[in-house]
Amino acid sequence: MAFNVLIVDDSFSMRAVIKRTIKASGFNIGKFFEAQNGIEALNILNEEWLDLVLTDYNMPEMDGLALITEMKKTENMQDIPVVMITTEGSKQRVAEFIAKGAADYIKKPFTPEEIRQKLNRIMGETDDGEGILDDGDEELDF
Amino acid sequence: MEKESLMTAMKNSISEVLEMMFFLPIDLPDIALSEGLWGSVTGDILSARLGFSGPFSGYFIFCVPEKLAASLTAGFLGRGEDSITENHVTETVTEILNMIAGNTFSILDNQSVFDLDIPEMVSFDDIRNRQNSSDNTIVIPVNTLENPLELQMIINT
Repeated sequence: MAFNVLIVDDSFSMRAVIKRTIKASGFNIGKFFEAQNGIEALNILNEEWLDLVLTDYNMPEMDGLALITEMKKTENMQDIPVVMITTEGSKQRVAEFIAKGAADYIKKPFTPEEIRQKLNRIMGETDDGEGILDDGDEELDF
Repeated sequence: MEKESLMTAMKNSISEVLEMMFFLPIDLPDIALSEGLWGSVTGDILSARLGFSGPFSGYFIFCVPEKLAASLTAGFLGRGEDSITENHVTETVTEILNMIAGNTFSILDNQSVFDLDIPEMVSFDDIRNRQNSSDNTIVIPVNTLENPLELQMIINT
């Protein structure tokens, strides 16, 4: 099954790298969507069919935690798994992400292997370790 | 917080971020070598600043020659240097600082919560002209095959 993924990060470079890393990981992707903050993400979530949201924590306008809170209040969004991709690594902060409803978190810096394992687990896919491309095989598109 | 622990966390963080995300081999020379760090660099030097607060507060400064920053950006994005823009470069520089700062605190103490500000670009000349007390400043010089770079942590007193 291919999954539609929304990447939320105020840095387009980081969004591009996350896209590239997911592609390199071998995770089964349908379409990518991108947003610069939580508000843009909610607009996309209202219009598109999405299976998974990957969001940064620290963003202007609306941060990752506020995005999760809004999604959990909205019927057609509350069951979409959200993964925090963040530099935040404190146990208390991670517990806060999970308590708010995040399915998991990925700490920057990350590897394609970490991304694949976490996303496959969350989406209930078998993780056979195959499909990892050599990093740099795919050029980024903007 | 002991300065030695902070230095170790900063060095480990720099290594993890630059080697894992940028595939950049680095060398962390003795602190005494940092005085002449920028002497051999030609071209502009880019600087980014990131404030933090928590059990203690202050800010990080990350300085990198523009040429090296462009090379890192091209590698990060998987593109040729001729197709990257100034905006790509500044976003990459601020993202490097964001990752190094967050990772430093994770390595240092994952029980404590530190809040990070949004990173911003600042003038390298302003950084150089500002005299911080050595008591509250930690400087980590970094050598790469191309050019040096530097991470500073200034702790508010």
